[in-house]
Amino acid sequence: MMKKYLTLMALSLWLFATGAMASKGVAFIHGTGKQTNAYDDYWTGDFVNSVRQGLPDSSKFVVVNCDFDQFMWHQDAAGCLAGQLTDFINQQGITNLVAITHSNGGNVIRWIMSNPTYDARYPGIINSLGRVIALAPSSLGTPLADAVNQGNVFEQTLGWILGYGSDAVKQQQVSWMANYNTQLLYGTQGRPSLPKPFEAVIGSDVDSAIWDSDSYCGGYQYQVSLETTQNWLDNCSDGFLECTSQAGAGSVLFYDKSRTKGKEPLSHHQSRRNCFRLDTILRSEIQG
Amino acid sequence: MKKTMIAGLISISLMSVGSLTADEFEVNSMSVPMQHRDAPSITREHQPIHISFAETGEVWRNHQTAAVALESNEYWFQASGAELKRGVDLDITAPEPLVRFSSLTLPDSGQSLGGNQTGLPSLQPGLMGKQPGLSSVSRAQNSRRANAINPDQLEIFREGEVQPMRAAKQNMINEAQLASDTIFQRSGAMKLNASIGTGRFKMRSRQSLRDSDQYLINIKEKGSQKKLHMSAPRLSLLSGEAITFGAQMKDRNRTVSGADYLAYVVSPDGETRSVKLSAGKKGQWQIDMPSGFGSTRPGELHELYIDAYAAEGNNQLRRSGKIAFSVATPTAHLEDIQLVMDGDKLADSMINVTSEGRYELRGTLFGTDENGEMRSIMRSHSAYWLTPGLQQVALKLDQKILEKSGLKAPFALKSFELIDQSQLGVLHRQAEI
Repeated sequence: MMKKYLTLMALSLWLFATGAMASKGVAFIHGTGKQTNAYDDYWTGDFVNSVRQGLPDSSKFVVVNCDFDQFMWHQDAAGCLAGQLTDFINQQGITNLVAITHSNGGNVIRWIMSNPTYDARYPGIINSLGRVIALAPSSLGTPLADAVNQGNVFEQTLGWILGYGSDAVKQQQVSWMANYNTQLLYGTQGRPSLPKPFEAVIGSDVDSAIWDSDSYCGGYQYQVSLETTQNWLDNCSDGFLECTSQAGAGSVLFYDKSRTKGKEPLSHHQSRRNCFRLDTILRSEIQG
Repeated sequence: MKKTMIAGLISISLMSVGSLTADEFEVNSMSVPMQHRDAPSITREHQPIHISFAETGEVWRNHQTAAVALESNEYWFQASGAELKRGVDLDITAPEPLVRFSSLTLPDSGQSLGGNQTGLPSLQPGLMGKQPGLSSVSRAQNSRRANAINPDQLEIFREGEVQPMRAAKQNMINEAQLASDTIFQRSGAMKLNASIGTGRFKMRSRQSLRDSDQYLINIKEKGSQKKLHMSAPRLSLLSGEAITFGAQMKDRNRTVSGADYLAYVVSPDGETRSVKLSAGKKGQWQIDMPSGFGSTRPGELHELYIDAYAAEGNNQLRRSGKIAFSVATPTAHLEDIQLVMDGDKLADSMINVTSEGRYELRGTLFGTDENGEMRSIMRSHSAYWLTPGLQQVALKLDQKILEKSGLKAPFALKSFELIDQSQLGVLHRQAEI
């Protein structure tokens, strides 16, 4: 009996010493767009519920819903994110937060990490943050955003708007991100480093061959669209972002083909879906 | 001298990853007179906050390089429905160009038109003939979407010929196919076949487009080494400062001779002005920002558009590009800053404030290792809500990070910045204090 008690005590001490007792949680942070049900509409329940199995307590997760059509610093963007993360951290007692971002969501959390004195909630979030796993982050912007915002004299002067030209799309132009990365954001080359690891998962290609079942993961129509937009990008791209942009801030966790099932590439749409075992890769990452 | 009251301090130390360099740091011109900020503060945070992140001991470097260097192998222009039905020129200098066409949305009749309110920009002589679509655009009266262009209904003609070319198009993508990606709604795209070669072509639509509808046409010559190279030594300006930038049309590394350059600046609210280019050496240019130009929401950027043209035999090489600048109102002036290293105080500063708001000091503390090399210790940030007048405020450090670094005096404060958080404007940058 005494031996069993001592073993349990030793196990508890070991768990404490290894940090397993620290309260780990996962936040899923969506990309561009105003989300009210990102669980279903942006990530899908299959993806979220698979990834969170990597947690010691799989109930400790939050799916953020904010308006990322706004500029990253906007109260409805970073302010909303700060509010939802702070509530999650406080209510669940999170001491080791893993933030999984997709696309422009990486810029919004990078804003918080780069501007820690802007809002009294930011230091608490940064302090609780263990790491950011940034899925296909638009760190250096995309030429596609420049393409839709390249209004010339008349278009701008008359106040005509490109209907799809939200502030977030403006922000993600290559020319605008070049400015923000040198003025307001940390983590890119030549700039101060970010306070916590920002690790990017890079999508490097788009498959849309109609005979290839891999093209159907996440929705075939998205693959066709992204393969078209890929024409405007470098050969290494996920159909929305060039690899250089995705790898432009923080460090690279992995390029898709190096770890996906069948060495399949992840298009920009597939990097937020259960495609080619991405979910299980992320599960093992948050376990580690 | 007024000493600011400091209350409710937050101090948190954090470990950091990565490295610090300071390639883009430079001293902002402080000769610009101070001004009041028109807009209210974007942030309502009044609490002083101090936070430092540990740095990883990088050796100090301060190489002066361009803050941005961009390349473009594409160009764009606007065309009306009437022009598309008549045919617009496409100048192609590389095989298999990509052509994208996007419908523009017209504003409500009651919506502000922005800009100079005349509906017509001031244009440089010669521009009209060079930019299709700028010459005959009429003002829209109602808000509606222009009809999408169907690539199936587009015809490509070699210049001077009346019969459309066969098999000129490939990979045509219509509106419905592109709309699944939210960034390309109401757009179509196609690639032109390599077999048609290069030169001047005409693109004509057989659709019944409204004459006044407007479209943005973008031609990208992917893989072409004929590019417009753009650069800028810095991207943050104070109101009244001139923009210095580089723009050169190059064919690989060779500068294309005889190229013409046109430039426009566009404010965040859409006001547009053509600007006179003053040439410097080796493709460097300077323009004066127009005074009283546009209004700015905090964080939004001004854009400098550059259109470049060069003759290539009977053909024309065209490229477009842009650089985005921040233009901050000089709401405060750094009068003095001293490295003090006293307790939790890293530096003392004296700031002359004209507009009430939230201001932040940032800098990186360096110390000396056993070999006498300077290495980074921590990046420190201190922010305060300040009222107009002379304010003495401190940049604070984290003593735990300092002790853990093991680095000793002499210390140095580098990569220093004064930021007006109320307008997200960088007011002062200095490589070393």
